[in-house]
Amino acid sequence: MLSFKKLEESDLELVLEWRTSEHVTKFMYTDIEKNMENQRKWFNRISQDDSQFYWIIQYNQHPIGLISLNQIDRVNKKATFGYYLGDLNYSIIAGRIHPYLYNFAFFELGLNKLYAEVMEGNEGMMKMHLHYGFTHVGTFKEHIFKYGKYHDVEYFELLSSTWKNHCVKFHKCKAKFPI
Amino acid sequence: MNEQKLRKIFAETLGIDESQVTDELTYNSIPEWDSVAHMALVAEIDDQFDTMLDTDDVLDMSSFAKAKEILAKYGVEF
Repeated sequence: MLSFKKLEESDLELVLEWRTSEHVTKFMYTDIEKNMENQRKWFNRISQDDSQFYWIIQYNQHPIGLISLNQIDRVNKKATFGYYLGDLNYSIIAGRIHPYLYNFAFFELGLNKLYAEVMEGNEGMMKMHLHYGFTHVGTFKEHIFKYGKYHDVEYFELLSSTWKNHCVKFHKCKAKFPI
Repeated sequence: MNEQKLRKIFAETLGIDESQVTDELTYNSIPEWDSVAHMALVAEIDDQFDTMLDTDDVLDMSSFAKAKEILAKYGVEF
């Protein structure tokens, strides 16, 4: 069973291990150093920022990844999000994480829109966004410079009305996201 | 008929020939069936059979044979 635990300082070392692993970092905008001091500074920063929240993804209480809501805009009721699975033994269920967050965002937080940016090459994630009702709005050409070249980023959006009216079969994926 | 439908889903999603889709076909046994392909496979099964497989079942769906067994729980007849 999937559950979501608020990120705590005791999770930082594991999260850093995941974040710097090859299968995670290759689709992130930046590669980061495996540096615990920087990790703690990041945690202190996000802990005081109410525009973003982070949770450990757990499967049967076992930590398997990290998920977040970011750039929460309470005026315009929109946010972006991201997640990764650090434990590859559970990569097989990666596609099932999304609806839990969407149900929380739309039904609990009352957001009107979620949007996502996906690096070129991450076709699996793009397919998942479309599967869960997102619209592919456009491409940010040469948006990220990494590994010595520019990369396009695909931009997707999901409205609350679409989720509530056209994605009903995913509504059963509900879990607590402690803030 | 549902078995052939499921076989076609596997073949098209994984990009393999239908003759390769046997009961013995298992997750990660071929390069085409990796975690990324598995997400697409589950999504396609959900769409075509109008199911919403539980996470435990997604984790458990490690072979073509197992997929039939799991779908039977959701009322799909084979």
